[in-house]
Amino acid sequence: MDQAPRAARQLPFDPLGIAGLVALIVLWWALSYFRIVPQVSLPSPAGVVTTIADNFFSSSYLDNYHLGQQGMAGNLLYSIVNVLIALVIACVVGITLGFTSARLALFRAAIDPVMLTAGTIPVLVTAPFFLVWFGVSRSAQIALLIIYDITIIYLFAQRAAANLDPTYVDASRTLGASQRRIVLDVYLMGTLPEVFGGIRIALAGAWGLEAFSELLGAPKGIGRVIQAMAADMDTQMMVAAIVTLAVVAVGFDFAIGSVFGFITRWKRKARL
Amino acid sequence: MAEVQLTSVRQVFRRSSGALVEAVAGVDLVFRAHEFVCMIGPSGCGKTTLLQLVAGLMPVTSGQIAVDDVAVSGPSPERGLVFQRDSVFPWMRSLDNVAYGLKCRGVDKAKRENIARDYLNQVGLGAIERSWPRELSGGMLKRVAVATVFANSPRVLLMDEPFGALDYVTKLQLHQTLLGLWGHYRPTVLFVTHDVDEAMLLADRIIVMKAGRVADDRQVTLARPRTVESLALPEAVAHKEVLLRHLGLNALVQDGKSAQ
Amino acid sequence: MNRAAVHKLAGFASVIALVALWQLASLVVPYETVPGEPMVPGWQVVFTRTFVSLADYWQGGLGVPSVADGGPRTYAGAVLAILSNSWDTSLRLFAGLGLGAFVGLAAGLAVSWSRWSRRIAALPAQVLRTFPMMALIPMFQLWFGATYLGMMLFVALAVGVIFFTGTANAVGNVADIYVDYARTQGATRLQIYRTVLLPAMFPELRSSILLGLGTAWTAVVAAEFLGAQTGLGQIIVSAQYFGYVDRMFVVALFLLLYAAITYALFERASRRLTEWMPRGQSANVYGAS
Repeated sequence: MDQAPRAARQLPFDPLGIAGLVALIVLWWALSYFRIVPQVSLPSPAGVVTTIADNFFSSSYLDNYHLGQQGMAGNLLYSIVNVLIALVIACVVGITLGFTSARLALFRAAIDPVMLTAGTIPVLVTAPFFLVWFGVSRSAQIALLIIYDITIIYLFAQRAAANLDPTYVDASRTLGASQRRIVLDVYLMGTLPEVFGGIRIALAGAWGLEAFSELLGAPKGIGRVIQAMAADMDTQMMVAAIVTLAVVAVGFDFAIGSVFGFITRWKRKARL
Repeated sequence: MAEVQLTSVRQVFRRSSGALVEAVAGVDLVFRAHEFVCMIGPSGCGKTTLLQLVAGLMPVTSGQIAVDDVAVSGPSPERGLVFQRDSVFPWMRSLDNVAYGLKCRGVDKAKRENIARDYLNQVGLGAIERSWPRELSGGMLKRVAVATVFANSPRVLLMDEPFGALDYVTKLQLHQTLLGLWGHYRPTVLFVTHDVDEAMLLADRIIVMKAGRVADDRQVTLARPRTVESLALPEAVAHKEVLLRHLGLNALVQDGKSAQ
Repeated sequence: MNRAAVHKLAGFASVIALVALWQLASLVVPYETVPGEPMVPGWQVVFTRTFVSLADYWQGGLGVPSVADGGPRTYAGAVLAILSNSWDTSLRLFAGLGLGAFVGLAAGLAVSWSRWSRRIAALPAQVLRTFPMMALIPMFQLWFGATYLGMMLFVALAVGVIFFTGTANAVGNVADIYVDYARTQGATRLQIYRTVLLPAMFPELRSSILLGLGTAWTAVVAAEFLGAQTGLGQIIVSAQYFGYVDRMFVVALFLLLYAAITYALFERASRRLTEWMPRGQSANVYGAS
């Protein structure tokens, strides 16, 4: 009887990697403790943590800047909602366009040049335009993010559909699958790993872009907090805001990485 | 179980450069019900194209393909196809793969899982019904594919060099598996291969394709069950000599006749 | 007409459709940001008065007086404005790109030296990749002011992260067999680095180069948007403040043109470096699996 390969059991993360992260935090602490970098330029980790704790759910301090009474959390939520809304819209549009362009050569010939050029240029050039057209509102943020996300997701969806082994589609046809079944059971499932990869990459960049758009002009948001603090040279609060955003970004990446990994757990692991 | 009729079948492809390629250049064949036919031929002789045409995966340029006088107009589980490449869906567990054709036909869950389980057992894979395809070896994947096709009780069974990528021993084991399943109700089989020994071990009839045409059509009357020893019988050797010559290899050096 | 020609035509057609759509929008949207300045400037506006108005951004010199001091708007002024600001932006871009690439590559190679260092750096590297870099721009401004140095360093940081993670990944992905083969022939670790790992890494490095270039453009434009005295990005933001959408549009087009050109050049150059690769191995620009 031929042998089947066995999968190895692994921890979700490497303990040595944690050591690396801890080392970085220790470095930060040392830089501020030993005054290698002046306090005004780099607040201590402890200071940042207390600032976050104090101002997270409600902050009269932030309220003075017209940044809402729900403190950091309120602003963070604004940013998160924007990122997610844009991501969902971009997924629907980008995946549809990508799949269509993989199936219809003429369609691909028409929109590929536009999409690929959009992928090479800095999308945030459009940010000031959205600010003019939509004013200081969340539409400006969402519009920018949608453009950014679509160019990435389109690329990944198109490649995923083009790389899908046509044997699977042929096999499903010979097994009597209806067109609807072919799209759902074969096309969608077969392209999921690559599409998930694209979504993850788009999301990773989206946080910084959202912050940037808010820095340019927004009613609320964590970027607005950073900007207000920068104007007043309040580095402690500024770093606190940056850190919360970074935690959200890394946390989301880890979370959807795990979720996507679970959904596509059938995939053969790449040999590293 | 069913008779497959090919009448003046011609298939022409257009390359991206614009040139025309005649993959099948006029084939007239009738595969009788319950017959096990092997098609062999050198690469590019059109055997795979012909198989795909019978499967209904693409329309015929000219001519007609019919099963029991009903024209073929598209793929169907009645003409089950075991592909050369891995066609087992990696995102479904083995049991779900085998049950897929039944699911498409609306068979309810409990019933189709029972049928699927039964066929997995028949190919010797009852223990791995919950496994993901990535955990299975090449031979096991092929067995899943064979079980999947048989679960739909096809009247015609099409096989496109299904065991080509497997090692010698696994291949022989799969022959036994295949013949075992085939023995239940004997669907008409069209088995494409480049392996002459394989053709001799499996087929009632061997058709040689060359440059899109039928070059030879031989009945094989070796007694079943056939084993590796059967290949040494005089009738088998005679067939093999002719077949190899068709494929471009000249005489076996058996009795001192020099190869030319 | 054969298929390839039809496809090329389709590509052109979609670009022309976009151009026409813009014009249609300019006709349909009557709003003005500021009296006299249309919100969606039609092509006729862009091609007539916009270019000359860019002379506003020339600070004077070389015989052409600045508009702020009362001089007239001339084509010469506009051209000089474009050239000098393009120079400023490009300087920050390429200096940052070079520094970031160098440091990132070196750090990535250093970290890959031993299996332990690779494992220790894995999680921090992943954190770096998902870190929202743009949020740091105000910090850089606080530390360095709105200077060349500050912007260049920000670009270097953004690019450095790309090269660091890309290099570390690439070294890890070099097939063990090549390394083993070299070791059985007596190569030292340094020799393996030079003669096996570096060339074998090139295809993946190519993705890092292209991705790094894209990131560099994004970083420099972002930095200029948020506070710079000169540069194309700065012009856009200044124009936005006054609602001069047409000027924003023209300068943005310049930026996009530069970005597209550098991208095409880099792609051609990096293709040369990977000529030995077997066909059919598509480079993933974003470096993911």
